[in-house]
Amino acid sequence: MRLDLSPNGCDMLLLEHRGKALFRKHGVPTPAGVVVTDGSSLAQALLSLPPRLVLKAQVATGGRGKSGGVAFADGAEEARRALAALLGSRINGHSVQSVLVEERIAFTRERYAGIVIEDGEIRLLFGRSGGVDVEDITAADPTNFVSITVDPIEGPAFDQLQACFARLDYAPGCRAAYERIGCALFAMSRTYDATMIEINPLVELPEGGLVALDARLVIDDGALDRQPDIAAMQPHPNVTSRAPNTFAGLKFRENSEGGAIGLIGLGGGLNVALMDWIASTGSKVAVLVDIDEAIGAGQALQGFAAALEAFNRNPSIRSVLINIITCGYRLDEIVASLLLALGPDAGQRAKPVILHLRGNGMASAQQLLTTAGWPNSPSIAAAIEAVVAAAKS
Amino acid sequence: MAILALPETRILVHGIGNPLARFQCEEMLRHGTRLTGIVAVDPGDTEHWHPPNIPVFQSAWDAMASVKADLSMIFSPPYAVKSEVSEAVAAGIPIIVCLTEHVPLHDAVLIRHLAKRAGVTLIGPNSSGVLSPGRAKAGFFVEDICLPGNVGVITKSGSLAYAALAEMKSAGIGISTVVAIGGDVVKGTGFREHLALFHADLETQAVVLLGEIGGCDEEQAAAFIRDAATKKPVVAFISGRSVPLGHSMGHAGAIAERGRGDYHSKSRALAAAGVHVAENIGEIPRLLKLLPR
Repeated sequence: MRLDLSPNGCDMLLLEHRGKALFRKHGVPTPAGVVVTDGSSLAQALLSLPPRLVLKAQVATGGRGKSGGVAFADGAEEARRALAALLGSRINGHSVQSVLVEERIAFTRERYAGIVIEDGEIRLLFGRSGGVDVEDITAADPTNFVSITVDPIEGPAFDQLQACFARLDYAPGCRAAYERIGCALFAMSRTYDATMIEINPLVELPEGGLVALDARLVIDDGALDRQPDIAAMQPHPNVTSRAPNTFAGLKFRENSEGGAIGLIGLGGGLNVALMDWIASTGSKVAVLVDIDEAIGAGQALQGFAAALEAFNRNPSIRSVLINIITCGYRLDEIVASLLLALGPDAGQRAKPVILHLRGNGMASAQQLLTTAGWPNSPSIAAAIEAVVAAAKS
Repeated sequence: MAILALPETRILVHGIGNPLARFQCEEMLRHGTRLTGIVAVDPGDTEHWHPPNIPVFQSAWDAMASVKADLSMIFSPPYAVKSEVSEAVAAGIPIIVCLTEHVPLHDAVLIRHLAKRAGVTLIGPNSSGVLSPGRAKAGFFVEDICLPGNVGVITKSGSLAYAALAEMKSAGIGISTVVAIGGDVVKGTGFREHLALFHADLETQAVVLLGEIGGCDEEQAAAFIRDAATKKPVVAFISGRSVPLGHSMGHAGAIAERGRGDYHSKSRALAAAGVHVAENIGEIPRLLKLLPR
């Protein structure tokens, strides 16, 4: 089942060229480059670029180098052919609509620099070796990475950075440039609400100095409302299709592995635990609806009705579990709405509905259920047993 | 004795413009909790409603100057949490429970840092709060779903704890305190800090730890339990066994979390530390009953 469990599960990855524009604003050197979308914009770009080029597909996914998203070209003819091959191709499921054409940089060393939020702290990371194989290199040699915990108010301290660079054997002549990179990473992460920034590789030039050959910035979705300029940089529309389908304001999360049970639950943590439990019986939840948002918006009746209607129309769903255990809302108010949505035919539905309802205002909620003739399962175990049996019959 | 929320705990509520906060004020009074004051930065928030006989203050400073408070509950909007919590920390409130969800990660890092530096216990953001049944309520948990008793509960998810508490109640097992540390990536305090409080609490005889996949809070809790000088039996449940972990977005994350964060890593680490790991929520009361008295 594919679900975004963490609140940051769908944070926004900026396209490389957007990231590099922010890098330049903060003094991080990048190769000269132009974004092109067709042959004529390429022809225009070639006027300002040297003949030795790199063409990089602008898609919001990692591992482009290993999935055919990066091509080298010498001269205009090769560049045209590389562009034609990249445009419209698919990289890790993302369709390529634009390509960053850059000067090719001659370098002496590939390093890694990044900043992440980990264990509640901001951490700067530097790598002795960088490049596409940095994960394997670090797995073989953990000393390849040095991580610095940064004071979130003061930023990285000079001594911390120098000690880190010494451990990684960065040449003393380069350390001031690395220090500027570290400070820029910290400033950018705070300025743009970035939860992760990576420069991989960060290369050393033969004549001295550093250049960021790649840029990965991940922006906290929870902060996009106060980052209007960044929010406007959404990647191409076709790559933002991760959003679950919505119906009457509800999120319907469909299990890509199929299933025969529809689940209406309240709260992400419990919903996942219920799906685990049902999976352990050999059955599967086909569609999950979290009713929280509908209740919070005062639309409990509409939410329940829309979910039940969708479940009725879904031929793979054979039984329905409504499991609500609430503290923050009044259960009796929720039950009043639910009974209206369920209608008068208790127990007569084409697709059996199993209820397990507990919480704040339990006594009056139970009274409503008893009056309406709806049984309330005595435990989660009993409810799951009933809904699994109903799905099989 | 329970932890964090005690009969004598004097509580401030911040962010009364949020209807959830107004409902919680009524619920706290219904539970006999000592609601000591309302902090309303915007006076308009209390124009139409505030609990009768509860003083309203414009800042945490004003509140601390006129009534002594032990605990602040934050219901403020996500972007206001940073300033509201910073002020409560500076005003010297020793326990802060942040119930607001969707707080930007960098703000959470900052308030976590400020609280640590000041020796303040910050719970949350995105916490469902704290309840010591029969003593005090500082969050969404209500006494309807649980019994007073001697099991301490620490959870990331509120809803998962509601279910565990309801199952424990059906089995006749009660709790000393339930504390929700929140499910966000960045938390003021984690399992470890509250395990230490429960270890020191004479009334608490066992602890239930409710985790979920992702991050490494559970692995760290396992290390804490393994190395703790005083030990109390721990029963744990981890949700997300049937859900594969989301794809990590960068090399740094992949390197940091290599081999950690998934269901098996967490349950193995906990079991190796002597924790009884429940297969499902229904097994939690059964495992608690098997513990030696």
